[in-house]
Amino acid sequence: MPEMLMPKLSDTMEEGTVLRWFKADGDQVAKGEPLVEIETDKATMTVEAPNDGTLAIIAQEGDTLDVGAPIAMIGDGAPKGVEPPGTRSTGNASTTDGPAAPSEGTVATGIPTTDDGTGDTIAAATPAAAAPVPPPAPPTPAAAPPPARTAPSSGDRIPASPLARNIAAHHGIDLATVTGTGPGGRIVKHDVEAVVAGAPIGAPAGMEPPGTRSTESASTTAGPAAPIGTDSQSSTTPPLGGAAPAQPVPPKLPPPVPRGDWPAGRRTPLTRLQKTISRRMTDAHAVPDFTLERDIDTTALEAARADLRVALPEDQRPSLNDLIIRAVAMAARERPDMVSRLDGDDLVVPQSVDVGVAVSVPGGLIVPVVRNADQKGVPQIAAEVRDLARRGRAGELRPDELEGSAISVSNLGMFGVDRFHAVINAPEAAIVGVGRSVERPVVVDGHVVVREVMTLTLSVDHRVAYGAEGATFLARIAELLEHPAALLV
Amino acid sequence: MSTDPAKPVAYRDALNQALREELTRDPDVFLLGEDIAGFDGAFKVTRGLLADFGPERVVDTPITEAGFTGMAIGAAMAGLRPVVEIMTVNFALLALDQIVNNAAKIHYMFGGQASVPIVIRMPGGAGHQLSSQHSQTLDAWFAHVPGLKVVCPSTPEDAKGLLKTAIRDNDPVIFIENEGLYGKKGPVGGPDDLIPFGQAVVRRPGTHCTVIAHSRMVWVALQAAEELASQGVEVEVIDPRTFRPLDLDTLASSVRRTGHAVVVDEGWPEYGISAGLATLLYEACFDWLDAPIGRVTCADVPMPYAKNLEQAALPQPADVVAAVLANIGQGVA
Repeated sequence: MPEMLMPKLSDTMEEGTVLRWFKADGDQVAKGEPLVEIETDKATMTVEAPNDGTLAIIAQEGDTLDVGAPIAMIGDGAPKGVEPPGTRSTGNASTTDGPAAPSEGTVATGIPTTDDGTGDTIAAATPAAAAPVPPPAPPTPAAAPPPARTAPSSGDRIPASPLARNIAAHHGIDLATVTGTGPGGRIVKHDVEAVVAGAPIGAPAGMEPPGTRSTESASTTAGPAAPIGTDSQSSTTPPLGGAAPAQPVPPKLPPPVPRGDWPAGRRTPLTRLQKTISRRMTDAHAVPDFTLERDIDTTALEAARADLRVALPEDQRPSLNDLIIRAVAMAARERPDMVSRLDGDDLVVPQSVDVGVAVSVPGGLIVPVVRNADQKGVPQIAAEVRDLARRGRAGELRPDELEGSAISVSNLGMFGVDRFHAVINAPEAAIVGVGRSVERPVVVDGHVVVREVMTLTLSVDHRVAYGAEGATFLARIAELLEHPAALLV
Repeated sequence: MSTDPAKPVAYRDALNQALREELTRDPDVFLLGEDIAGFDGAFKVTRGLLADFGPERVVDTPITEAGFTGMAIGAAMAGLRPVVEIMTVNFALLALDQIVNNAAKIHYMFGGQASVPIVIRMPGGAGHQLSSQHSQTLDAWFAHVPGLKVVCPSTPEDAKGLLKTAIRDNDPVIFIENEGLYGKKGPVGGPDDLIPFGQAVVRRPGTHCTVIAHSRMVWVALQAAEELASQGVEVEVIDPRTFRPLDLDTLASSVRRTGHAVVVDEGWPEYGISAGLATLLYEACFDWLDAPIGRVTCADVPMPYAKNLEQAALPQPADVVAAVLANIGQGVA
């Protein structure tokens, strides 16, 4: 039945509003008679019926639609209340003429297959180039009435082949109960047939030997078939309700065929960020490093931090991590050997002490850089780190904000981690891993007292610096942190 | 003129028979192309025709593909039935404007006042170390164009029967042979055995997977089918034979039966015959598919010269075997 589309009534018209239908839904209309009044961007115009037939209105009075959108159907035997396109569901109610007649698809295929554009002289020679006829019913499963599509109840779509869905719907099988053995865990025909045949749900459904593959095999084994063979293993499940020798024996499934290179799990490709991290971490693995640990008394540091909360506006109040960044930067300024990087057979000392700060972001990890951290006060470092972390999580950092750090700080203390060995952010020479600051019993002057303590680990590229150098560097960081006033100069 | 149907005939000789029979039957039929008269054609398809039909009906042309194709289109509009031989499909690129903008369009643009009953014969394909410029499979280029008929015979019988149909057809027919098939022998039909366009043929019946292949790839697919049969997998090999018009019904009904399809094409993978067929089948068979449609094609590269690389780039039976096994869910161990 021909669709009547929103006409383009002026050069600039992009949409139109249906003001008034002159005929009612279901009326007979004649070609050329005034049918509908449409308001365009410029004027109100009356549009005539393009052909004879029964009117089925799609666009109601007051509706505004794009040019080309269907506003009515005019033809014979119009069903009332034709759904406007877009709300049409794919192939249940409307396709009553065959099992899931591919209504949308054949519209497109009709063009290339029916018309090779060479005119009527072809017709005699091309009997088979007719319009695609409704598909003949397929053999067993879909010869039944059109399967009602059950939408997946949960948000996760279950991967299943269209054929498997068809068979499952036909047999009323919930796909959630079927184990998929196809690529990526896709449920394929065989898996559904295995359930139909009474295989235990969730059992690995192996492929049948190809010679026995047929659509019919499922239905034959589904019935009360005679026991297959005398293999006792095929009836390990005792029949319920006492001994009943006539009980059908569950068919024995052939062993699963190896799946070649298909892993059982679901695959997700790495994001670009994850690929970068993967490459960098692999590079880092080549760095011969060692790790030093040292407990630091952070009682004074915590007190200083509390004082600074009083003194500073909210966006400049330092976290413990900000204070550690400051300490690491100050120590690094005094110790260029700890921020050197290996370049071939040369050691290169950077011109500024730029400190990288590891930040967890959705789906990965980034290390934005606080430039010249040794020359910046605690409030400025606090503000910058806060800003870098926020923009990093939003994916708004520029590449140059993620490059060129001389040493990095990674902190997992907020997750309750006591200490960890951080991976050097190559080509840097060292990284500081920060554990949590927590009250611990400590011996001071022969007495056990409670103090705030944090463990720092320093991982060092052993090609650039050595154990003693690393130890004195870590000692200097500890000294600065245990005397927090030094951080504020 | 001996056409004993029992005797196997080479593909090139089957074509020769079709030309000879149609030249004899219809005085409006004439041949033209490079080296087709005195030299019998680059692939010896026109052997002996100059002697029997004379230089007015078997015409050697200069190396001017656009020129002689255009000339033939004009002759066809004037009522003759020219059969053009272009040495290989690679040289048809020079005549594309004539083929696409004239042959395919004239009937349409002049409201049916003129027809272009022309046949343009040419071989495509690779396998002879002719490197990238002379090893192309461009079936898709022509199959893309409404207004052309596109025929790709795979057997001597089809070569003869389809060429005779092409010559008698009132529309422009692109008749793509394959360099690797000229020596292929098989039975052929007699002078009155025409094979209609738009009828696919099942080369081998099977139940587990539909394998669609045309031209030389039919033989690759059949070899793969033998190997698969030894593993207990029965594939149905279908040869569409013509792409315009296309017998989608035969392809689709097979795929609905097997639930699996692999398309084999000597052409490139992107936007080509395999892509087009797969799309048509998705549209026609979506609810019957148990796996995504597989494709085995030429590698997406200019054809390498080196023998080993050339063979690696072309679809081989082992590639089809692997694609079928993957499609039906048996990993290649």
